[in-house]
Amino acid sequence: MESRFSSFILTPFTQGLRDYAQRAALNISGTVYTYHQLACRVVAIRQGLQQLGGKDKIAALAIHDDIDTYAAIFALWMEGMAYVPLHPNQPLERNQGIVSQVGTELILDSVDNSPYQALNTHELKEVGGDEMLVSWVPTDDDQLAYILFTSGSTGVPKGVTISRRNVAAFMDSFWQTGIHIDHTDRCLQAFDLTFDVSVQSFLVALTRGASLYTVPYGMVKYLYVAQLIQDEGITFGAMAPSMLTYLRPYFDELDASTLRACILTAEACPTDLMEDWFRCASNTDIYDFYGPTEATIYCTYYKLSRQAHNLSENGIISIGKPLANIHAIILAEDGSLVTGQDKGELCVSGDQVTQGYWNNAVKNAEAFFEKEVDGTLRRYYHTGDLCYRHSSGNIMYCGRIDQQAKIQGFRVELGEIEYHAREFFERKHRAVAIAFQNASALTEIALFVEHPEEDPASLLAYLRSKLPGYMVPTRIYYCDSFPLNASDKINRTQLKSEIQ
Amino acid sequence: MTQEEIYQRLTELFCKTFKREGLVITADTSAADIPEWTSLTYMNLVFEIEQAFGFTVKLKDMMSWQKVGDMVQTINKKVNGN
Repeated sequence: MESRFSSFILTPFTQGLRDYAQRAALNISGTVYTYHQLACRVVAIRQGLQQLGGKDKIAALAIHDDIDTYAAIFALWMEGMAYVPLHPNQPLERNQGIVSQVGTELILDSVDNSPYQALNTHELKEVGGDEMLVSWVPTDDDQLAYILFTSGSTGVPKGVTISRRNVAAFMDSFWQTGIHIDHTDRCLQAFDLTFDVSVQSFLVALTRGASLYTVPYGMVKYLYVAQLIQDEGITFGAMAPSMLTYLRPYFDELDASTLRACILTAEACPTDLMEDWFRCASNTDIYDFYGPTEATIYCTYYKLSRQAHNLSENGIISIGKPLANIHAIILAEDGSLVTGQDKGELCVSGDQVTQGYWNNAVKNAEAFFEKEVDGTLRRYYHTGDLCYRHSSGNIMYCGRIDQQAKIQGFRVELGEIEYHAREFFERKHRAVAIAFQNASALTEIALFVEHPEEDPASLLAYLRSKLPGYMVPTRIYYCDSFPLNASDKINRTQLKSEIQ
Repeated sequence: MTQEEIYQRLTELFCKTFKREGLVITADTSAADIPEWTSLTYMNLVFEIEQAFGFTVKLKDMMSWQKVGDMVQTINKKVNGN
């Protein structure tokens, strides 16, 4: 029997390579690549992988905004392997740490001056191989599809393992929302490949024969996306609300009339922003999708209404109801199910939920638990999100219950920033990272250091060498001593009030 | 306002926005040359340009700004009418 991963991903993808050979698959920096060209690159990379003998089951993949990076993901999957993305703009040391955590010797890179001992996909040429477009290595759905490393509070990134079953269940859930994509669509891919919404973005397009439009590195993303929407007539795309916040002053100038459906995700979705976006995107169905990486991209969604009132809590749109393959509960602090509309932690279960963090028994014991609900024993993931269930059955998002923040859609453990700041001071001084909303309602990070005032340039340079750009604080404050609260803990609330 | 004066003022705004003293910009400078050039800092830069040169930056202006030279061309047009 065909695996679910094959039914939902490999079969429709390879069908598209053949059926839409002369249509555009990828539009990268203005260059169009057809499905035929994509097929040739998939074959070439598969042949390159086969020559290596297939010792490794996981490959690290240096992700570039190019055809080979997308082709490599599918080639790895067709060879029964999984990928771990390495972002070229993140510190080399962090990426090397990820490779050594995973323990793979196989790194794929499409550039000639790779900093890694890598298989250069750019040099691979396909030789025949038509049969490679209709067959692939049979692989169990329990095998991995990808591992995404997210910020870890101990200073070491933690890997979320996503299996083929997880991805297939996600695709099944996604299509059951009623969003329809076909070969005439022009789809946006506005997320880094280290971030899981990218997987939704490219899978939805490339398993339906649609065209995928990427955003190159080093561009001001919101401007580039606005240009794609306007000049290329994008019909479908997922975006972070912060991108629309940047564009909001220019909504009256932006022609988004081709946009049929738009997903807002990765951050809380403000009601007033959506009202303005409805006016600008006049033909668009708008959806708010919510989900942690651990539950494979999205686990709940809410379709906004253009005419009627949209459910919200403190100006934030409801995250809606669970997707088809997700079971959601809300837990009180004592671990019991909340009653009525009481607030509690959202916990999710089902085929989309990861088997766990890579080699991290401590974190796995903390993050996952089994519970019998309605007579069925299920394994749940603690999302860390504070929610309640509205009488309509929709879930309302009220904020984080722990010390995480979301910056440009990326989940950031503030503890990781604090860890590196303390390391900079050789652990002699304390540091506190605080996320705050700036005047434009965008999240920034301020870092407080218990140290006499000095030029922050060398601290910032150090943090830039250790952390991805979105995690580097935008403001540094020096204090002689931190204020304490009644429990003698650092008074974060007071520190936050000092942010100007 | 001469082209030189525009570059001089713009350099001050770049140094302030990107928190980089002594930053040198030329007509060919682009986002790829300045690591601090992000969506957030760019929004701040546009705000500073609007304040300093006294005109409202349009979406189509920003879309045409691939490099600093393009910015200077727009500023020159708005400020000097040419």
